[in-house]
Amino acid sequence: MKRMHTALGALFAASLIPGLAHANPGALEINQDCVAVGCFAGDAPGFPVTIAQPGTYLLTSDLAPPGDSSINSIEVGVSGVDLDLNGHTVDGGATCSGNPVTTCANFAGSRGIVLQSPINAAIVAHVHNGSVRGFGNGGLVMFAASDGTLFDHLTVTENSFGMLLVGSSPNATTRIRDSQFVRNLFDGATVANAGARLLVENSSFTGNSQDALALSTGSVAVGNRFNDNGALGLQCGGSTCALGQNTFMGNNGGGAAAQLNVGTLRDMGGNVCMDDGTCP
Amino acid sequence: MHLMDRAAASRTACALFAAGMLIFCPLAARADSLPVLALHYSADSGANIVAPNQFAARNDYVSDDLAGTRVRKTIAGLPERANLADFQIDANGDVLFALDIGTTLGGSYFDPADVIRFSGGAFSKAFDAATAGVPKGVHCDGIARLDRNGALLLSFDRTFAAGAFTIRPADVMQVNAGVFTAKKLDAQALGLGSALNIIGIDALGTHSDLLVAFDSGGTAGGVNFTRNDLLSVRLPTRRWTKRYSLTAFSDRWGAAHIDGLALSNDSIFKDGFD
Repeated sequence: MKRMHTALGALFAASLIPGLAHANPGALEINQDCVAVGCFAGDAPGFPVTIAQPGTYLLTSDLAPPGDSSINSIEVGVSGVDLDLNGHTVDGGATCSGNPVTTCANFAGSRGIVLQSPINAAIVAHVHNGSVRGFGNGGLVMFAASDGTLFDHLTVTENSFGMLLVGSSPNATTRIRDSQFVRNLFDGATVANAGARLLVENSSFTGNSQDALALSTGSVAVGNRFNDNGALGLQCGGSTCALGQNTFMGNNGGGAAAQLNVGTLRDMGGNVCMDDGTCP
Repeated sequence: MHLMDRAAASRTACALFAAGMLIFCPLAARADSLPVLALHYSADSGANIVAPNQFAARNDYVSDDLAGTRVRKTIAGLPERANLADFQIDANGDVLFALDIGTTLGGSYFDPADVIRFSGGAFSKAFDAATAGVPKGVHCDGIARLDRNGALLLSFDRTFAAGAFTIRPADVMQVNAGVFTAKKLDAQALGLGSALNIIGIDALGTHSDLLVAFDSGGTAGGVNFTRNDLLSVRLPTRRWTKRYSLTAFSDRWGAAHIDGLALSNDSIFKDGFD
């Protein structure tokens, strides 16, 4: 009995470890433990977690891919997916130094979350409520985003590119709101395909090594804050972008340095440059 | 003595006692020491709670003989998107359970407040929540039986009125003939905090004792507990005891949380023998 009491004491001590709660009834679950066996039908054991069916998906732990720079963490290959990170982090392992970032080390995974259809179909997805950090080939990478795709309440930090919009349906707009792109090694978020558009609202871009937000024609940025990025706060060079109520400070070296570059500005008003007051 | 050996010795001795032989029963039959032959539990998220690198999904449960052997148990046919809430393993092997979502199984729809029986590969309704007056939106999150095959004991996730009862999340209700007949555990009468919610029950093969899990830490009868502790309560004396802490079973209980429990034990103690 004494032994049992001792054991119960140990049980009590161990029980003080904090836990994480979750709730999203009916969602399919993704966590570090289930990855080893496949988290649901259609997902093979191991990384990446492959989402091949429409539905709601919920992270119930942080995810950390193995130290293999060719493996993504989560691949969304179908439209109609709601991916709730549930406050968790998809962690590629890297850490960066400097503000703006100057170097990063220990990139483990390739990409954090990828939207890419195996048949090149357009994907409409919603990714939200968590962090994506430390990936060597981009935190969020879209190859096939279409109208209706939304990223919100995300913190994207210490990746190579924070978000990379490689491709989308013609004239489609991907929406970002209420998110942070912080201290990524290259751009915070960038459009790499001239046909892709971003609508960026109420987000902040801080400490990224290069341009904070690089847009293409037809993109809109409203209510964002761009500060202390290594290059421009907003880049829309040679293209037409609409801006309103954005705040710029300390980018591109700060002081009187250019804070943004827009080919043709459609000025919605209220943009503010806080260093020297010269701002569109 | 090893826990399993102790339980087996207790079982043998008490079986002899029950058979009319004057053999001393070595364990005081209180809620904090009633013999448990196996503990079955489920978690609210899939995790390696069977063993390191041995996964159990959130619609599975784990059978633990408390002697180092744990086995993942799957109820065939449950959808991947469902979470197994509490469950009860009957003496005949039937499993009674509730799910966190409304689900069609075998052509029949089950509400999250219903209790589903899994028997011989088929699903049927063991408790019809609507008939008992449980409002839509309420989830059943605690299932047990008095002794081994007695009345159903149920708990729910929110406060509602049904018949003459106001049922709270930390109450345990007795069900006879499909209707609520008594509060087996009256949370208010026992002074439990209004924020507490019981999410796992077993009656330890008795009429007098319960083993319960809550969905948070707290205090019961002066006993402090954390999220993955299992507490026993002897109802006649209102004595609470911390019986197990699952975080000692696996470090994965730091991320997963218990949301279902059942026991295998002896019915010899059904009246408590205190």
